[in-house]
Amino acid sequence: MDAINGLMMGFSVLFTAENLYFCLLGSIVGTLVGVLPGIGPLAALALLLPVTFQLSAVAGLGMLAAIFYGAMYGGSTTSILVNIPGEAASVVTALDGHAMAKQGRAGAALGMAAISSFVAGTLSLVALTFFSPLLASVALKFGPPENFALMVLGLVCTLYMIGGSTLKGVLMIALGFLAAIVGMDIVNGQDRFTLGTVNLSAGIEILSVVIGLYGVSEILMNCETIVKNQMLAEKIKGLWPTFADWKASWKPMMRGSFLGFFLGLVPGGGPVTASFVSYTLERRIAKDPERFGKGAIEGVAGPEAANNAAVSGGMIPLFTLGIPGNAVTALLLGALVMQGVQPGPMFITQRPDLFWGVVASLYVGNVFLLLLNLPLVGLWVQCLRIPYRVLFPLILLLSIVGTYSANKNIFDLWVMIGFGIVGYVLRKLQYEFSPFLIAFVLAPMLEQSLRQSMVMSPDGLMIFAHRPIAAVLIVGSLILAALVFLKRKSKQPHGDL
Amino acid sequence: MFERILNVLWCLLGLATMVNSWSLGLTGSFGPESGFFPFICGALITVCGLGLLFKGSKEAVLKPDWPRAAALGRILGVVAGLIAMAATLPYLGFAVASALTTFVLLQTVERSRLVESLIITVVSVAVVMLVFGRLLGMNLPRGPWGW
Amino acid sequence: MKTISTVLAGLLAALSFGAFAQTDPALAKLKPKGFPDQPIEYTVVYPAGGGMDLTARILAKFVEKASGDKVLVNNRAGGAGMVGHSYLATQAKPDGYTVGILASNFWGDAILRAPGKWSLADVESIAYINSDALAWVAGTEGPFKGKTAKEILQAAKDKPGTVRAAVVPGSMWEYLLDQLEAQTGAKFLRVPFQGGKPGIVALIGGNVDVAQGFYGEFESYLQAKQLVPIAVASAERVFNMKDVPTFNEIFGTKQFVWNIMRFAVVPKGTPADRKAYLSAMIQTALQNPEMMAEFRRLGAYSDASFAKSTNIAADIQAAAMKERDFYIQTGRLKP
Repeated sequence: MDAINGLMMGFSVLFTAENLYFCLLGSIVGTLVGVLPGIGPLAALALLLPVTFQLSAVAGLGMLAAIFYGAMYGGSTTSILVNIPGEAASVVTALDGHAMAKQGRAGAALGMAAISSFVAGTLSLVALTFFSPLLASVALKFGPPENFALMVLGLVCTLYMIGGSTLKGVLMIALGFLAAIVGMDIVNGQDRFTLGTVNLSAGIEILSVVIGLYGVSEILMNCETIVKNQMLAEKIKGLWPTFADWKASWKPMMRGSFLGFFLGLVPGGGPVTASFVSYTLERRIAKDPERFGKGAIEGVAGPEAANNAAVSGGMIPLFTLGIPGNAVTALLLGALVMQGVQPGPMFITQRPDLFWGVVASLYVGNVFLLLLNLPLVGLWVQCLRIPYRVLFPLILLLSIVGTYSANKNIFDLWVMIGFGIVGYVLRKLQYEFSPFLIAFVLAPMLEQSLRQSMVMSPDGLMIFAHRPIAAVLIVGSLILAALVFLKRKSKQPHGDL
Repeated sequence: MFERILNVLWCLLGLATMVNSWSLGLTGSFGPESGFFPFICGALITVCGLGLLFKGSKEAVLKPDWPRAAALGRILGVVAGLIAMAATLPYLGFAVASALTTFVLLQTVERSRLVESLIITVVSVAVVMLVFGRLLGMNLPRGPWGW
Repeated sequence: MKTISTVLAGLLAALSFGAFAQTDPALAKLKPKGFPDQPIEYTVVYPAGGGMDLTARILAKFVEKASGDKVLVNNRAGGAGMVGHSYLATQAKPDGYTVGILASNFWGDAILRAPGKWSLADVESIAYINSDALAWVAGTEGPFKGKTAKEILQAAKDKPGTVRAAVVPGSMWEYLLDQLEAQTGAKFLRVPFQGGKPGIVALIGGNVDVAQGFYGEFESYLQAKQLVPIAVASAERVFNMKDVPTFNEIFGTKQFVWNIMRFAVVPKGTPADRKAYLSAMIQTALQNPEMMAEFRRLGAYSDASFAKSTNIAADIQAAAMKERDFYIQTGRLKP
């Protein structure tokens, strides 16, 4: 069955009250979960998974997938408004988004985030519709050597994220890497740096890091300078993106969609990585990169597009190969299995009604989300005018519960507080967190892939030379890395590294 | 001065990591072992720490914007509040622990008026419990009184 | 939202089934007074959506139906199960509201990695759930296409260290290979993965030559003819792989039995009446042919020796001791 016919069938399957209702419900829950700091799509999916067992497959899957997308839409909200990421994939959006909010342009930022998410979501779904089988084989080509090469590329992108002192930036990367290593070594089961406690055996929870480092430190920073009735933004300069914004954003949106889609497709990628790489790309090719970090709308449009596109990208290996790329898609896989479906190479041909029904549900879900999020922009912007002293307890509580929701373990809260204090101190001393976070995200896959590749390889490191995709990626990384260092050296002619 | 201390701390952390990684084993029959990557990280941290120590004034933040008395008090207050919250959560349950913490923070750190503090506390805690407990169906910790 | 969606879903379910579920009368007789007055937690030590999690959710669904009590599945994942195992053995309250849904690799953690912190005696087994046998799968493309298990083992013997096998370190994936290598003199190149599924995906991508996994994990690829199971590490042939020989058949031995056995435990010290009720809840659910059908769909089977056991705690303990002997025999544990 070809794609157009399939899609037609999908829409006809989708348009029942039950299917549409749960698609809408998922969109709402997803947005909510995205907006709330800490709690993310994974927790929401785990909580709502049992509900799907009593639903039709299309309704259940549609709801869960809508939650996933919705979280990518909503996650940017708190990032932009209060500089506290709602989701690890929205950390980058805070960099320029919040700067825009402080200039009174929160509306434009929020609006552009929603629109970028919609455009990327829809475009990536189109790619999924027409190219799934082809792209499936791409995902399969990524074995350990290719994964390693991709992670190396991601790590090099991290170098680009270093805005200030190189030494401090590299230090943060090394720390991020180390923090990711804490826990059980999956290759040989040895505990590393767990300080004897079983709580660290599972590693440091990423939510604790994100909320602590970004959220708690932000609250501490704000507490310092609080004036009685201070609001987060004094003047609201218009609610919608201007024409200039559109002009600046449409290309980052396209690039973000394309990039995010591929980074979602390959193993080891995902929305978080996609958002960081997109930001790095936009900054790299901008004519005036100094604008970034100070309210460049490209820094919102690109990453927001990328994280949504990555969701669709992740659906391809899930549906065509039965391979989940991350914990969220693993849950979706579980939901499908409970519905009596085994996603895999035969899925599309055996159950075209289900596959196309879910795809149709994804399209409709994106529309729901756009319709949901755009009007909310006005509401969110009004929130900025609430005195901080009223907002701050709520934000604090939400952050605590959000972090707790990950593993229901009090230990995560202690980690959050620890990172919060350290984060505050480091911010004062002008350390940047983005290199830390991206290293934290990439390190596990990077290390695992390298060690797997070394085991697999009959001739050591030369395995990377024999595998074309890996070789290309590594060479690309080396070139980029060289460019980074040359650029930094040339920018600081006083020899100050 | 503070930054100096931090840089020394980085060096110490890096060295401790390197030593620990060494004991984990650096290379095995197939290349990197458990200790390989942490060792590199430790080395990088130490090197960067040393670099920051010796580059001295060029790298340091010339006058870190440390908080003054009142601001410092507020910050310590919030930190104490967070610690109190995490410590009492398993025993008092979410509702009570968060209400207490929020109220105390509002009174001391934010210096809000009594009535206002009470209202904000109740509303905030209620909203959070509703959203997470009811809407999302999460099991928030309960106190000895069952909620 | 959850309340709204649950209500709606429940209504839909009720409409489609036409009646509300009847609780089992025999079970109701065993119910202790005032218990349970809050939802019972089924703790799963692996992430949501995985095989273990799905088994627990199916079980919870049917236990709820049979007993009328509310059961919530909670995931405490991390450290390949170690975090959840430690929680059950040391932190979970023995008040009858926590039931651990475990797999037999719990024994590995308890015997090898937990001494000094907790031990097998800190939990009590209350019911057997199902089993999944570990099977060898080979690809339908590449140099090992069409080969039998014996031929692959021969290749691994002739050219030691060149045949790539996917393993999950520190688990039965390795133990099976150890036994096979001891039996035949073969030597495999063991490529580590985090679970059976990644190894199977690597097989299809041509990154390993032989993988090991459970039926549920590779069923979809089998249907797509991308791999075939070539041997199974069980005592008898498994229902969904009738024409796949067992390792024991191939070698005429009895030792190649490696399967995931799923069972339920409670923390030590749970009151006897609550323990009995929790156990009965699961036993009653296991009588339900619908649930057994769902388990079979996931690829799991019911091992008669455990399913018909009269003293499940003792039988599970005996199985754990057998594994302990294996560890001592292979030098992993000092006696």
